[in-house]
Amino acid sequence: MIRALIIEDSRLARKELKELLKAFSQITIIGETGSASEALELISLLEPELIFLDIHLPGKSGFEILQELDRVPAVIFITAFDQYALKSFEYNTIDYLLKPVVFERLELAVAKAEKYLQTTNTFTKKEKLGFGDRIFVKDGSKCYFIKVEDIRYFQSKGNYTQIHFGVNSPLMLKTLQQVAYTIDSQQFVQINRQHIINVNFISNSKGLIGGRLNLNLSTGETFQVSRRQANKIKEYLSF
Amino acid sequence: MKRSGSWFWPIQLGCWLLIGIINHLVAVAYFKIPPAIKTLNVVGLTGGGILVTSVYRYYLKGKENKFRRGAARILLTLLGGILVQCICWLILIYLLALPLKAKYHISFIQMLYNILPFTILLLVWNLAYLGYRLLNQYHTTEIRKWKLEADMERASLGVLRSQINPHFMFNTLNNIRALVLENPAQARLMITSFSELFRYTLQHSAGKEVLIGDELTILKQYLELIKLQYEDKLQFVIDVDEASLTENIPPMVLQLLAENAVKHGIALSNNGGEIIFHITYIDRQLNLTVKNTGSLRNKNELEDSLGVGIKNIKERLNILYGNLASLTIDEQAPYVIITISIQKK
Repeated sequence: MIRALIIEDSRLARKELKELLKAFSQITIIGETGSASEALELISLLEPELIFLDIHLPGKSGFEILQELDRVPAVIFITAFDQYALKSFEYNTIDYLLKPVVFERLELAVAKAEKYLQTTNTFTKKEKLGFGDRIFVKDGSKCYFIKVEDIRYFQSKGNYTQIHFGVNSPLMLKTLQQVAYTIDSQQFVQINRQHIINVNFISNSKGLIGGRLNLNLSTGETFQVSRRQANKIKEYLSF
Repeated sequence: MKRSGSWFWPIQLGCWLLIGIINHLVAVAYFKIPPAIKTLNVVGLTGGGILVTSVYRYYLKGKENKFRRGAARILLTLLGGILVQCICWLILIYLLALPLKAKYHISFIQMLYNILPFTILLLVWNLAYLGYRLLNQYHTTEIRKWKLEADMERASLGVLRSQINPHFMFNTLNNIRALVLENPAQARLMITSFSELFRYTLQHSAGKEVLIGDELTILKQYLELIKLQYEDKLQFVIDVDEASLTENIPPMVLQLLAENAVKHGIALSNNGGEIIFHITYIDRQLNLTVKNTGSLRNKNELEDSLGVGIKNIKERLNILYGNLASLTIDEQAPYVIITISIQKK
């Protein structure tokens, strides 16, 4: 059973979607809303596994809603005409549907969502953001759904944090301290004031004079660990 | 005109110098004339010619805008120009000859013999110059005409493009699809309205003007369709002077303004808002005012940047009415007000 939330500002469009979803017994609609602020409340309250999200909403766009979520559920976008916006998705979009929705397309999208949800543990009662979770980042015109395990490291850029994964490094409007607070400390470790690193990517380390430590990632990047964090890192690496 | 300026002087000076040299050679070969007179002839001919025609050209340039086509006007300009230039030239020659007059017994009548060659030279000069100018002007007006036609076409195409707003179209169809389940009779009405609107768009996008009465019918249908999306969140009032119903405006203007108001006012607010249309016609002055709740600061970032529709309206107003029409955007909290004024002839 998939617990789904509908976020769409036109009442008739919600009715239309619910009508279509009647054919899918595996989907239970646990709520619906037409406003962005209510959507944010409902997501944190009901913790849906899947959301049907309209891009155009009063007050906030669908993208902005996703950006405010710490942990992003599976998303199926529904929109009237947004080729340009949808083109910007390159990562992990479940699917998008165009209004009026073609039933066969909806079937495919739901199947994709099911498959995705089987392999991911969204909204288990975890405290912190960790592997298996996804975050949504919109940097300029580009949108990214990022699997947390794909992130090599976070880099502080003042009020922003740069997320390095694959060949991309988008900026997110959160300070590194906020990231450190929400992320699982078993999987990510802050090595100095500038960087939080995914421990899975650490390949080796080299001790320097004065208790400092150099860390090499399997991708070749090198970081200097602050003296204060060095002992903690050594502990990690001794495992 | 820059090109004509750069070519004028070499040709002007070259031709007059050539005439002076030929005159001098002919005088040396066939006539026994004292050197002082020869010099006088060459200076009078070349210098005088250059001076008189250059000053005349300067005068014509100042009259740029009054320089109109039309056979009678051109002939008059030509003959008048030649006469004036000829008289000036003669006076110049006379003044130049004054110091030599007593010594060589040059009579006033002898001086007048110059009329014939002067007139012929001036005729050739004026024909060449005016011909060039006319050709040039014809060319530029032709280009301007093409440009205007292209503008017009672009603007009317722009109507079509901004008119069939894909967002509106697909949202409406989707809403009607749901309405079929909920209220079939209403759904039938909405399909009719949608067809009417679409037909109107196809028929009138290239046309120049339509009756305000017709525009209002379509506007109401458009607003009913838009209300499927926003329902109670959208309120509208249409307040129109009876006298304005039979006046003409460019097609789709009211609807583009409504769309703009929805996009930047109603769509952005959780509580929706209202749109007030106010049309007056007083002293041949047509005023179309569209007022919507909202703020100029709130931009709809996802949709096309602000004012594509507005820009299109401005362009068409400019093409149709020139400076007799204006469009202003104003903000009086909580409203944004767009006013179009057209002074009818």
